[in-house]
Amino acid sequence: MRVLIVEDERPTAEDIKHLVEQILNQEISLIHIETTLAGAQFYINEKQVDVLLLDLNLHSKDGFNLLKQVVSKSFHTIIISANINRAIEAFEYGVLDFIPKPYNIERLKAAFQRLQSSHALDGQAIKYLSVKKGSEIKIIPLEEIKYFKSANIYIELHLQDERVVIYDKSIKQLIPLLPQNYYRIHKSYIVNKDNIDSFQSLGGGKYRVVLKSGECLPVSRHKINLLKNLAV
Amino acid sequence: MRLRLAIQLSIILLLITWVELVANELPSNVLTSGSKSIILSGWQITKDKNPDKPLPDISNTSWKKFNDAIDNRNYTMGNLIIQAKIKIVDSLDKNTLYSIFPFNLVTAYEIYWDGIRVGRNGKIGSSKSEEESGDFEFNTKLSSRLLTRGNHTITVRLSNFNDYNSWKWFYGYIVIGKYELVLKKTFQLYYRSFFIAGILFIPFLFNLFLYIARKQKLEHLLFSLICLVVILDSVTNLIPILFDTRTTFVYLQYYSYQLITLLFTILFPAFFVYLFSFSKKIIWIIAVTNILILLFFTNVSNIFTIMSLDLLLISSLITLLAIYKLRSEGVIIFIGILASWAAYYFNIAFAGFATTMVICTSFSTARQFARNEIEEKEAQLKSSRLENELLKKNINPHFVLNTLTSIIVWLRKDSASAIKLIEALAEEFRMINQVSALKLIPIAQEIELCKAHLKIMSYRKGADYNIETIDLDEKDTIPPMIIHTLVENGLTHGYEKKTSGLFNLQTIKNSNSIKYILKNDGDFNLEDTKGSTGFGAKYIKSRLEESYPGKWNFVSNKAEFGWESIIEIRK
Repeated sequence: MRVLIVEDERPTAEDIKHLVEQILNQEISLIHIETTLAGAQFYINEKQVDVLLLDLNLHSKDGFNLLKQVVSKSFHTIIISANINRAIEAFEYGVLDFIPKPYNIERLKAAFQRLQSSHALDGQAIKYLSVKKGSEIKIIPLEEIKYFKSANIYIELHLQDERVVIYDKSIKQLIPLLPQNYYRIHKSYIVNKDNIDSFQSLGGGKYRVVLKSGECLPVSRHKINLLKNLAV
Repeated sequence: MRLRLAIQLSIILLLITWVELVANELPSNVLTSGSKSIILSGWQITKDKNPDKPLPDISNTSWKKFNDAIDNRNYTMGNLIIQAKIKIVDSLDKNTLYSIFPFNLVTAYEIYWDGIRVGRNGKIGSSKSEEESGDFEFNTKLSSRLLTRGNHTITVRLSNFNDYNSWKWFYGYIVIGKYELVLKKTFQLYYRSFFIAGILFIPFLFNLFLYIARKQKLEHLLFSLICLVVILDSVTNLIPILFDTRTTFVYLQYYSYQLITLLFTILFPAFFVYLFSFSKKIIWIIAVTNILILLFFTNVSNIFTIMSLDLLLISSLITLLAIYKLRSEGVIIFIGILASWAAYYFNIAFAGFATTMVICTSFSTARQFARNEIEEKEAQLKSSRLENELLKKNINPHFVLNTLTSIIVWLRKDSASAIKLIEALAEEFRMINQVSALKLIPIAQEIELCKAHLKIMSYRKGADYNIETIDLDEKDTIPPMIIHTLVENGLTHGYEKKTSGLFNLQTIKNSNSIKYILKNDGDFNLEDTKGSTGFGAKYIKSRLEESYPGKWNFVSNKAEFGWESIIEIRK
């Protein structure tokens, strides 16, 4: 795992690095520190990163612009900041976790565990997805998305207005960010329960989901019971 | 007559003017059944050669016409006789009591009606030791037998051996009329004087207490004195009915009025100068001018006319200047001045001026008082806002949490450094606690604050920040945390990539200003550094304006070596 720490106080950055090394141990392939906004932006554009640990307030500069930019990237972002009054906003834009300062090793450990979780905790789910379109970042509200379809290391966002937008995270990375009413009904599909119209058997143990918009999506064999329990 | 009225300042004149106006229109010294009262005129005067003998018949040739042309000095002291003719044109009501009221005659006198003595006030004598002064309040009732239709003579035989360096005839006059009516008018004067003294006693005390409570506000004292002068004026009128008063009191009254005049002509312009916040030097110029005018351009007969004209002119000029300079209350006072000019035109300058000005200034003082109250409240509010801003800026949760994080980091790494960081934080908080409510603090303390902050930030950033001073005068004071704010701003914007930093505070003093130059060696790019317009700068400017209103200058700019801020405070 490649970890980037962006923190303007070097002793603190080194402390975080030290703790992350303890937590991830062998899993770390690279860990790097940047202390300025410009340095961080440069590094992100040039190098591969899996997890970004970011302080929102760098030399009194608002880190939110950087945040909107980084959440559109393929890696996860964990905020470590004393600026807790912006935590909710940060979650809405798609950060994996928000660790208030002063942090401790247990809190950092919990954040890294969330990389594997199936959905976001209450009140910490995204409301928007940041999507890169050329050089600009577009914010798409979650309710405009009909369903998510995996396309290799990207996700296709199928929107209510029939458009399809590419989102730069894998389906595995997206899952921990989404609210609880989003279900992965298939290896390649995530759908909001509220968008499902009906659940149909095709015979031979095969099933499909019909969306309110009329589209049909396949259902994995091992997800059938889950959908039956939802009683859609 | 005009002069006499001017002299009879305050309400006496109002009364007399009124008496005059209501008296019937017939030529003077004609008494009819319809007359209420008349002031006797057409007097002639002669020396009384034998004051100890009965009133002699005096030949027509020895009389002198009693008018302005008479040589005053010859008829000031000694024994004198004055005489006037009066004609009763119809039958007077026998049941109505008529009386002669001499006003302000000195020192002792006898009154004769057709050669018959009808009244005596004091004892006539041929020397100072022989004469005895009469009552200040005196009148003599006339028997209805004497008031027959036709011509009569009123003769007054006087003795005066008091040399008061002024001449009594400007004061004295004699009224004849219905006893009850004249007495009523006389008492109206007293009631009014009581009324005015009573009314003004309250603003006098109130303004005096205000002055004591708010020592720097001299206008309260001035206004209090103005009230006191008007009270003194009224009290002077009241003495004859409060105490056993002799006819000689008229001299005391004369000097009292003269003093009151001088005080009036100085106090009122001085009050205006304070009211309109003009230079205080003007007061001295006015005082000297007025004393010079009083000494060299006035005499017994014109002092009140000249001084009231002088007062009106000076007050008008000051008020016009105030209007020109758009000072508040200028218009209200000017209306009062216009009313005073009208009063002057109607020969009641002093009373009119006093009354209108007391009303106008009371009104405007009240308004100004209310306005000051608001301004003070605003200043207080601003002061507490600045204090709040200071605390918020320096003890905000963000700063505390980041520093606490740093402390934990250092505890893990090097506990001795952690302890030093905690000590620096405690030191900064302790000092902020001391200075937060103050408007000015010693500059040495400000530097200590900066040092504590730089120490904290050095530990937090893993860097080495310092401040040094050149020509620091530890006795100087400065608003709290303004250098600190500049240091903090510099650190935030200029040391992103640097791990060491040096701040330098230089003090340059000269006879009329003191200059603080703060330099640092940071890297700045102009895009994200607002310099003298940012949030920190607003705090600094508010603080400077609070402590040195209009006498400061603040510039903050990028320089070759880093950043330079200059604070200049003029004396």
